[in-house]
Amino acid sequence: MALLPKRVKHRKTQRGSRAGNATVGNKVSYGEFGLQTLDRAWIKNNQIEACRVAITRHLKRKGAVFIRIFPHKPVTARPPETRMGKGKGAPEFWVAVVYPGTMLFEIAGVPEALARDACRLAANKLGVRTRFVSRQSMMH
Amino acid sequence: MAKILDISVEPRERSNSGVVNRLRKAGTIPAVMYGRKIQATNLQLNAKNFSSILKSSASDNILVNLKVAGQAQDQLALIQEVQHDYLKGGVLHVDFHAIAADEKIHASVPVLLTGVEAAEKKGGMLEHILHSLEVHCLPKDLPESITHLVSVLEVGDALHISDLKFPEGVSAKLDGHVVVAVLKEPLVAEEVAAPVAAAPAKGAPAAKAAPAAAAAKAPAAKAPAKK
Repeated sequence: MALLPKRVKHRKTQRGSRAGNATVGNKVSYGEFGLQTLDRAWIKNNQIEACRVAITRHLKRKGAVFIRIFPHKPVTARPPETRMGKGKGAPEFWVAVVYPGTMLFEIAGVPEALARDACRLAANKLGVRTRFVSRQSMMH
Repeated sequence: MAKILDISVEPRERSNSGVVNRLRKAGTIPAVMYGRKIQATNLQLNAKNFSSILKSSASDNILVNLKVAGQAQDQLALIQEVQHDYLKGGVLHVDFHAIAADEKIHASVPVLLTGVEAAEKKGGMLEHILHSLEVHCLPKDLPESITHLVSVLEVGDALHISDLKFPEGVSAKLDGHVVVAVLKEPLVAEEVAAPVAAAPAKGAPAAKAAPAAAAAKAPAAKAPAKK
């Protein structure tokens, strides 16, 4: 099922700023291990879903997976071969805005080697540089 | 009881961001010491020594004996907060809370669970919900961590704060009914078993075979007809 908001105040938004690093959502808060992004990007809802599927299939439904990002931002696109004008395009897909340091996914209840491998598979679905982190490594 | 570690610190005169950033580059961590009976003081300490102290401890909230340069008396303090750089690593800033040895303190103590593998052999999956717990005690009674053996849990059981054993003089701030960990049943076991059952029929789409055993039989039956 597509990951998108149930209800939004405004159907279309401006692009906004992606400056700075993540100041919230940058720790391993729920699980034992996490996948942290090192780049700033818009991550589409289908990319998040692909990562979730890759992780859960690799873990063979063991453990727990926490998705720490949500695609709140609508992105519009204009139909092909359209002349200029006639207003802004229709909402096409949804993205999550991530900053360097944002924790994308967290995993709990599985050994580190398995979690590391699952995160590697998930990272391959994304167009951003990521790194695998653990609760312990984040503390020191 | 947690060990009290000695840390040498120096007073810091300037506190603007440029100076503080230069200090960090030079291998020094800016810090502050405050308390009910003392005036807040800006401090600085060696980053390498402090990181080694943190690595050897179970959590950031530890008791320390501050040896402030130029002061005759040592100051007992609790590390109230450590700001980490979650992107580059390292410590950005440390808050020392000056305390009195005879006054109760609030501190966050990690909850460590042992016997997790033994518990999970029963067929469940241990979900650790509460990783640290705020406790109320005298500084001399502050435990380094609270450890609990979870191998006695059965599938479906939950570990509550009331089940934890606290050292004498230590009490939890949260209510006893708050859940620390749960030994849950695995989400869906059949989904893993289904592709194995459908494996002999080569060419059968694994994704279609996955949802249930009944659904897995249908592609398996169709597969020979394709040959």
